[in-house]
Amino acid sequence: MREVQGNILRAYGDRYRAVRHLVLTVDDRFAARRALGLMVDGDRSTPDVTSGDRPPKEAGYQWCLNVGFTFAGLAAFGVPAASLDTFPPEFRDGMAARASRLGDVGDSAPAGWVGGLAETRRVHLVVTIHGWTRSDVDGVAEEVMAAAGGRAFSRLSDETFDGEVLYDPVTRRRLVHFGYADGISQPRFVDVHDPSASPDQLPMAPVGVVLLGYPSAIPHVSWNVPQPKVLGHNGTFNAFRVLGQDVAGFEGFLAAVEAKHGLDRELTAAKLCGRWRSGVPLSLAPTAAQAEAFRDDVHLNDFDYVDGDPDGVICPIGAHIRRTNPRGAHIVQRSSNRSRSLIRRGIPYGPRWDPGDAATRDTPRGLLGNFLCASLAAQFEAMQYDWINLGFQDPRITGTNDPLLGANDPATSSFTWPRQGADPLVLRGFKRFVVTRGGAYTFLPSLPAMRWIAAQTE
Amino acid sequence: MGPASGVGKAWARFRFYLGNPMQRPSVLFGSLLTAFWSRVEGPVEVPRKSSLAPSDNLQTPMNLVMPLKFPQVAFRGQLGKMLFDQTDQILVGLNNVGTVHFARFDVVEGNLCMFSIFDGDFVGYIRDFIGVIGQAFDGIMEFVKDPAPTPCGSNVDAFIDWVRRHDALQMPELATDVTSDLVALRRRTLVLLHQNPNVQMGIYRGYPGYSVAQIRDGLGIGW
Repeated sequence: MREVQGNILRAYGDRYRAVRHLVLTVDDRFAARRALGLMVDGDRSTPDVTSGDRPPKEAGYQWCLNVGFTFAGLAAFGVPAASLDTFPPEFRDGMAARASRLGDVGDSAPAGWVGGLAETRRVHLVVTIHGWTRSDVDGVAEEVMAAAGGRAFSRLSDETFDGEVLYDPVTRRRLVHFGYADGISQPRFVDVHDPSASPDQLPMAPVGVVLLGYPSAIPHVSWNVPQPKVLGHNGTFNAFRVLGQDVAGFEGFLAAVEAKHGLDRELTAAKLCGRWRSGVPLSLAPTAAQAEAFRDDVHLNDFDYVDGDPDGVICPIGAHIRRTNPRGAHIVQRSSNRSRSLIRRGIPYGPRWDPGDAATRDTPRGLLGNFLCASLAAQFEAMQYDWINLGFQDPRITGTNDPLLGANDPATSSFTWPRQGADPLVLRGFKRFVVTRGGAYTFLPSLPAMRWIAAQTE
Repeated sequence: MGPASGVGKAWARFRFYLGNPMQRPSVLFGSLLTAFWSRVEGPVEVPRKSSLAPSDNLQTPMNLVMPLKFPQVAFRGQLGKMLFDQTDQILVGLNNVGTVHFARFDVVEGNLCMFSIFDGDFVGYIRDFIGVIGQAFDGIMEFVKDPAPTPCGSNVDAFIDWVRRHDALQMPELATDVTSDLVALRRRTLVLLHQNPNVQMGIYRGYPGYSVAQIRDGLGIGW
């Protein structure tokens, strides 16, 4: 944990409510290395990168700092070609080059990405600052930009990627703009998490799901560790995504379903997601009354689809959480039930959606997401490509996309809602509710790796 | 297969076509000219395209052509025994991949071929079968020339790259996938064929647009 960057194996916690992602390009390689060195071993005149073993609420630390390098960024820092060649192809390609695999087409295509992220070759670093308050973040951001005489980096755009945690005013759970409680289900790691603290019928995951240099979740398969070992070991890959959310469109669709089929909006929202907006899973609380009465926050993940719901009558097979995490359910790719899991760290951006507030109704809002894994291709891309889109994991949803995250088009979209003793209801004509506004594949090296990068001389 | 040596292939074709006087003038000239174009213009790249259309991601062929180390019958016999010994693992493994319509191993003129039809993404398919029959492929690598590094489960990217290089070229269905300069289409197509001795020229699908799981589900035989 001491060598691994923070927020990977364990989240920073609810105290850190504000975030900023700085998308930077390296202006001066030598100054950039100096700045990086100070971020790892400095005297705190420069903000230091947070390690995984720092107590999240240590006195004096009202902020946390992470540094992610794109492939172009590693080259900009002078990492030798022999090392660069050992990175996996998808990382070398970069997120924009993989757009069609990720569903980043049409309004989500890289050409329209914001905040400098469309300039893929100039995106070198994504520096992420979490703070207790916005002013904490502002202060650290200024110090990062001023490091090494202020000549090291510059921002690619004036547009900022600032986010702030949204809370449900009643339950105090973290929310996304669509109104769902967020961050409930994450892999729990052997020797890191206490299994009794968050019971889950899924087995504990090996740390190799997210860290390089350890056995992966697939027997006999280990991911290549970029070389030299000090560079790759204990590093992780990150898919940084700026995901715009069309809340008005989503709520409009719920209203349309209610008008056409007489179905309660909250029930439709639960069927599309697999959880009620409160976070309570359909599998544990199939009815609104049961969900309302559910008070057991500890057991929100303590379920499986194996027994009792093979046909998705309770939780539809195409529901978001079942598509992205089929748990122990029978799926087509029988060896992949647990091999695609990844860590999600996301904080919303933009104002809370309020249909009555004309001033903010059309203001961009969404999620600043980090999707961490040891293999972008085998985990993030595989999930995005043929589970979220295409639906290859179950023949009954093949040819459809995730109703919340998928690259849907009203002309072809469909969602099947199985019903006990009746024909399934098929909802059609819904639009894409989540649009990619930007992104980058980054590598989050260990702290020793950052020392190694800072010490390069080329 | 990787691009062949331009001079070597041209010479091989020269000798071949000398045996057929009726074809000699035009084919010989064409082969020499193609070798020249190949050298001057460089490789023709046909990218594997990703698509969000389900039908573009179903029933994709893979034609893996792996030259054997030795052509002798005794060597092929050893290969056959090794594959026979691994049969259960291979069949169970491919069943667990879940997206394979069929896969068969053939020996064709000194090459071990694995021809298969699968659903989904090429790289995902290779990665999934490394997970379930990687150890069988480690055994296969002992029989082929210039093998991928083993164990393939510890050299995933290198193995995927090796498979990609040994997967016979599938001729693009669209002319614009060969070149956007349609005036140069014929020339570029010949260069493409020159660089890829192993080519899948076409494919017929009896039930287009269905995944293997959809077919099995429809037949009620489990998926």
